[in-house]
Amino acid sequence: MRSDGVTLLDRVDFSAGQGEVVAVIGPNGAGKTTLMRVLANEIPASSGRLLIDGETPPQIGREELARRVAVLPQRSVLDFPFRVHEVIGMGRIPHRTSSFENRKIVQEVIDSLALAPIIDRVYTTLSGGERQRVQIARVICQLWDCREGGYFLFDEPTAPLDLAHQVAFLETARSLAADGAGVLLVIHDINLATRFADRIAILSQGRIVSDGKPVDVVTREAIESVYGIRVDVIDQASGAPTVRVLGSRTR
Amino acid sequence: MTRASLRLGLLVVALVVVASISLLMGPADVSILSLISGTAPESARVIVTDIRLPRTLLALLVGAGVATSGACIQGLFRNPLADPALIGVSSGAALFAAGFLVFGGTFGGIALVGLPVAAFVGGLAATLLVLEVGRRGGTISAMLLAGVAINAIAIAGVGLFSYLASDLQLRSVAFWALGSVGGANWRGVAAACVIPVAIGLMWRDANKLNAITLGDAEASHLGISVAALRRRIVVLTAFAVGIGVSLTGVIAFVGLVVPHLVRLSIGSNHRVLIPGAALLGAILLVLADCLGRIVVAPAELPIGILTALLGGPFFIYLIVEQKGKLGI
Repeated sequence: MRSDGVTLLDRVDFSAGQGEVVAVIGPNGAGKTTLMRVLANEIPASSGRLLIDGETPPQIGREELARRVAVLPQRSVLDFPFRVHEVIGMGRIPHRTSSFENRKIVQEVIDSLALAPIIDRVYTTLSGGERQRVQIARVICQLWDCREGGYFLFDEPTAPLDLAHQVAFLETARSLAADGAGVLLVIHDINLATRFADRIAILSQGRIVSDGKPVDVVTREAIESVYGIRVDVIDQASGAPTVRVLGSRTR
Repeated sequence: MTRASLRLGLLVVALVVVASISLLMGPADVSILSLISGTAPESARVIVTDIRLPRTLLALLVGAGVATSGACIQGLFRNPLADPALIGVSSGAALFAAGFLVFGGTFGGIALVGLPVAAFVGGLAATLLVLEVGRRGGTISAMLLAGVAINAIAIAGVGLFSYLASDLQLRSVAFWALGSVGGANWRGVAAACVIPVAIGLMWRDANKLNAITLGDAEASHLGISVAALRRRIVVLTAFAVGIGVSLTGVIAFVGLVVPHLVRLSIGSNHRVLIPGAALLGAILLVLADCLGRIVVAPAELPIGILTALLGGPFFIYLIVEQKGKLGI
């Protein structure tokens, strides 16, 4: 994957399966968003190919793809005074379900994400964190009735959220995976990633340097070499290791 | 949805009331009872059917077309400050109209097509140019900037024509630029019937327009072909506004202000925003025409002056008071 003569992603062989939560971590500029955009069929890879359930995006078709893959980009630009429930309802656009069914699905998503208190608010008057929760709800709403076998791609979903809502989101991600969906997310908080992801991939300078179970991937050596800071990794026995920052420079 | 339908219903009632007032108002007294019972004198019937009815219908259709196009263009460009003029349609039409008014008499070929056709061709040509430059630029900003550039060129062209014009021609160029429905006739109304068709086609894309307000990438993840939608809406706008501008001259501000009023009072969902903007745009233009007929009677104030005079300050009020809800 190249752009402006810079290789953004290099020989990345990556897959995400149904029923699992995969977290992608790595330093700024490592290529995480580029990887997400390639997987989301937003930008074509300069070489190599993208397969979804064994098929290429053109084989699947634009609308059918929207019924199998839902994507949350890093920034959203919605600047019009829609009501919150209208924004969430936009997730139903690719479907041919009846408006009665759509309303029911939107309501279920609102209930499961505890958004009821703000559904009648005007989107443009919400805080950054609230907007993000609404966008997450819209993306979940898109595949709510076909989440078994569907794929969710979230690019830094937790960045604007407070700690409680980060945890709530990651629990939602887990339950989507439990229902049979494949969930892929870019996240900076390694300690949350180790607790909630089945698999972690570390991306550094356009390459996947490590991909596997949290306990195998998140090691002191790996974190220190990728991020260039001094750390300590504890709680490995629990299966969800915790990274403690010791200093700003590696020894 | 029921609340929105109720408000749309109220707008329909208001439109009927305003249109009736427009039919009955004017220097000649016509009573509604005598019209319905058929006892009205022949002259009164002619005034209503040949002068006031086409005039009212033209104001109604053009107002609806300009306001709906404004709503769609704002959504398409995700820019609450966008208006149909931005894609070059108004200035392109104005350029060709000015050219017609100044040179129409000297070149037989131009004189043949008539002012409305010249204006419409100009509007469409400018829009297609903006669309093509935008396509090569690749982004929405490129298209917006192309619109700014084409606008500037067209306005300079109008200035050049004005400079070359005789005093008499200058007067008609200036008058056309102010906008007026005073010259309405049934042929114009027949041409303006393209406008409701364009509005209907825009309404069919309502859900897609909702999606594109989320962002181009988001819309394509919802299964929408963004490039095709953009092309469709821009061409429909060129028709709706181009026909309107060609018949009445430039109508300022309706395309910018009306969509905001509808978003604040009814909602941003294009399924209700489009019919709401069509109704409110029609009401406001018919109302502005009524006002224009009485404020300086027996003369008439061009409708474009009124829409800008009333719309401008009101829009400033909106910007100051409702900035959160306007999304600016």
